[in-house]
Amino acid sequence: MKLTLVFLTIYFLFLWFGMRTKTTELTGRWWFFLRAFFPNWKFFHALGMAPRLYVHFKKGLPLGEDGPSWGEWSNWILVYPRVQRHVLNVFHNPEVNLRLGYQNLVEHLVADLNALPEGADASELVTYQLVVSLARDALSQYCSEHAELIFQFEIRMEEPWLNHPSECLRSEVMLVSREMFA
Amino acid sequence: MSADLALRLIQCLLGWSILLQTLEYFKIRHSFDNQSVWGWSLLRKEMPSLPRVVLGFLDFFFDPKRGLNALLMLRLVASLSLMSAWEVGLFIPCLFVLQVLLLFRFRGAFNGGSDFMTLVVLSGLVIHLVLASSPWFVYAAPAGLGYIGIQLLSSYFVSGWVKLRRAEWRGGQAMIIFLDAGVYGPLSENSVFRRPKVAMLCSWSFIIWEGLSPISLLGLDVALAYASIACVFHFLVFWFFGLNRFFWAWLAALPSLLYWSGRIF
Repeated sequence: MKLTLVFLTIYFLFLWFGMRTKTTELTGRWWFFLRAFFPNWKFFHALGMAPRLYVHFKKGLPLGEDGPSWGEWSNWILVYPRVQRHVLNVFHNPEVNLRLGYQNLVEHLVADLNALPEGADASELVTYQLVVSLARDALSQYCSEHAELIFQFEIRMEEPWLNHPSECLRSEVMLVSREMFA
Repeated sequence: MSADLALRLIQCLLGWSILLQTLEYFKIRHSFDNQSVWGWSLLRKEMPSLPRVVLGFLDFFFDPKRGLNALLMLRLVASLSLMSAWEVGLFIPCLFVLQVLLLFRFRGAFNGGSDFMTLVVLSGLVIHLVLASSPWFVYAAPAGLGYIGIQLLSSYFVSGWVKLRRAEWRGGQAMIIFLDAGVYGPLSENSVFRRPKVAMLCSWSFIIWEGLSPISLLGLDVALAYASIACVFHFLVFWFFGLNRFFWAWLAALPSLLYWSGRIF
């Protein structure tokens, strides 16, 4: 067992030094899809600006003589998971896990935007199109059979104010989508 | 703790964890439709280059109208078999393959860390299974449980040390920020966790407990105490962040720690 102890000591020293030095990040589709085989176990460490998805919309008004017309833009609506907790959710929490997955998509879009070459079209990104679906999904409660909706989304990088979570210390718009039909 | 008991406990807890995950997938499968956010028709555009026959196979199994239900049903049966110790030699590799397929379906992870830990525990069981039927069978249990154990300890160790390097964690502010951003947040205005001294005390407790994870190997008593605190810690993570899958995935890995405790020092 002495050998195991030596191995463990070396391993944890290696891990410790690894965290102190800047290492090269592996990029590429395969690495990304198979990252579960190489978990980095860094939980709740990233602080500062965090991405938030906002949507706004305007409803189509009945056809006038001049063709279709549109109402005013709504206020921006934050699409962010907020739910009531229940202790039994420790066994079954599908909606929360789904919404957390949605928020991860927003974070992946930001990562993809940061990696995008200068002048490239963000709307070509799969993550962009997934977030379009997410924005559309978030607006479904405002849709009706009789009214068409045009919507737009924004990705903002926000830093909340400590102890005043509803206010932002900083907020920067990172991306504004084009207008789309819901 | 004997290797047999540790492996059996892991199988039961992992089976339970995967069963809960699968029932959740069934509940939200409407969001996997092609018109929904997790629609496969969009996700498949960014699949790494694969032979056409493999893509055809994925198209069938990831389509919610065709193979996805069958895939989830198989996962459900496999998780029950793991809990009841029925044909585990068949269903452990099956669960491993299904886990990898689901990771591909959801861009590498559906629920982040819990998917990673589920894969780690499954990998440990596969290592044990493969070695047990080889000339190196005496190493089967130490290797399988060793893989799970070292990943488990690493998860705490890394998580603790990265927090220690951040001034916001050392000062307690980071904890408040994360709790405010949690799915059940924000904290109420007069929450006890907003008090700077309480926040700092909690932060340092987590940092020290996580960062010193290797000392849990000193003996069974220490490991049991460490594992008990881990259960409370993971329940709190569920309570504030809604991460119920993390609770069960990490619980499934803890018997490996009990097996290795006292065997090294």
